[in-house]
Amino acid sequence: MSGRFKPAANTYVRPVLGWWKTNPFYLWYMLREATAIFVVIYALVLLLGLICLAMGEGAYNGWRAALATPVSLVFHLILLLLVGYHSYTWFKVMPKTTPHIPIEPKVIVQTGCAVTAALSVLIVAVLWGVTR
Amino acid sequence: MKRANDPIFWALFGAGGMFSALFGPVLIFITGIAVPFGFILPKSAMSYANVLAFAQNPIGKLFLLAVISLFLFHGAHRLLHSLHDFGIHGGTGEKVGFYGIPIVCTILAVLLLLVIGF
Repeated sequence: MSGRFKPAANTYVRPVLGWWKTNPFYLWYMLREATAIFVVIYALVLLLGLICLAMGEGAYNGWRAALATPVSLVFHLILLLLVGYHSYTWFKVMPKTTPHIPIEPKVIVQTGCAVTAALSVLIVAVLWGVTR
Repeated sequence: MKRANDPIFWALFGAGGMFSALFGPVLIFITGIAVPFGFILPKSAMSYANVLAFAQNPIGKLFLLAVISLFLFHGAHRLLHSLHDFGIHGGTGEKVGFYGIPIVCTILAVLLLLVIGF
């Protein structure tokens, strides 16, 4: 043990394994924290694409072909679901992480989700406009 | 100097959280669902020429670097602190391991974006 969590000598440390299974609230908390894994995985998918892009057209088309497989589709649908949940929870905890903003917590959550939705539609629309 | 680097990693976590909250779902939809299967967007949207042009544009480079680097810093910070929930109390070793990956990947992304050129 080290760092800020170091306990005083000879104190009883309550075992912590599995505590989060005891209450549904804790399960949602753990799911929220676990979404970080999927944010990381997606960044690595993009980094792999960037590596392939730098290697040349052949390697890059290999990356694209891998993305166009059914396994990749299912994988990205799961990613979309969990990173979408990450988005929602990010705005949900925002009133707690910025407690001095004089705005109703509900309004912060709704505004955050609305901005994300609007931005998403805008990005897809612009991309559709320039690539069709 | 103890804990002096905490605010930097916390800021990167916060920036990554905000960036991934705003752009994460739509990027996954575009690169993983819409474009590869020609759903709403054409498959050619992510052709070699198109993506190369995007990666050669300074703003495109900055966006790609921000997405890759901040997403990784966000995830690393959150997972490092989740170790606590499993009874592992992260010290210097865990910090080096968890922050080392995004640091190495950020350097790699910068080098790749330089290799791709302008």
